[in-house]
Amino acid sequence: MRIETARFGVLDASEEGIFTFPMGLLGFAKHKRFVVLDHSDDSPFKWMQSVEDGDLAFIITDPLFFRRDYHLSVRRAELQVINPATVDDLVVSVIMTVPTDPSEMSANLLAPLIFNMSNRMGMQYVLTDHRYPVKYYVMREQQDAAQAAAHPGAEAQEPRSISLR
Amino acid sequence: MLTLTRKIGESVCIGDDVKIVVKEIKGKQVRLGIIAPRDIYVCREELYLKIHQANVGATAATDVNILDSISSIFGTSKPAPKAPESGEGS
Repeated sequence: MRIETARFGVLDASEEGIFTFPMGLLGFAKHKRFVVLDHSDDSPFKWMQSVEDGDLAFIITDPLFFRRDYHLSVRRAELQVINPATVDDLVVSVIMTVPTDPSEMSANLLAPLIFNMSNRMGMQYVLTDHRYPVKYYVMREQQDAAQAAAHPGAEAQEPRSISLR
Repeated sequence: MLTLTRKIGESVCIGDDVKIVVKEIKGKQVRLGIIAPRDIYVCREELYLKIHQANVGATAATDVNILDSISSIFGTSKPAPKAPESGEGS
């Protein structure tokens, strides 16, 4: 399938490469299909490009990059839209805002994206407990995170960003 | 705006699939029960606006040069990310 995009020129995405978001994203309810593209080989960032609108793309990344303790505990019923068979099918990403001033770069930890890799469905999940901010300033918090990571034993277990209950 | 008066236990239907029930009234607060399909967002307006604004802001602000330089900082010090794999080509 050919997608004309503002940022990447013409993309040729296979149907299997497309993620379907039945609910769209908040404020983008009509955008239900996205392709995920690497920013570059060594970058932790990926682009989530709308199939319906070539001008619309989000930058996403794994929240564990800068918050090793980031974790969602989600009731299975809340994920009915993406219908995961097991938690191992799920991948959590967060949307980044990347303005010119790097210290202003933020991640939306309040409304992460949850992907079901086995049926290629996705949704934006809205946390209601206010544990995580809508704007987590990654660079400002990075120093604390680096100290935590340097702590011996802190990484004994591979962190996981989602569990089902 | 359509304005309706309802008592506790009564409902309002919006289309075929959405129903809002008045559960409880306590002073100036009303508790509402909402029955809606799974594929539409139901949340408090403040939260909706906050996330809506963040989503719109995320698409507007992107500086690709910053993204490149930040990628290299993150790329060297951390393990490979677990994120959905790319979908281009076939």
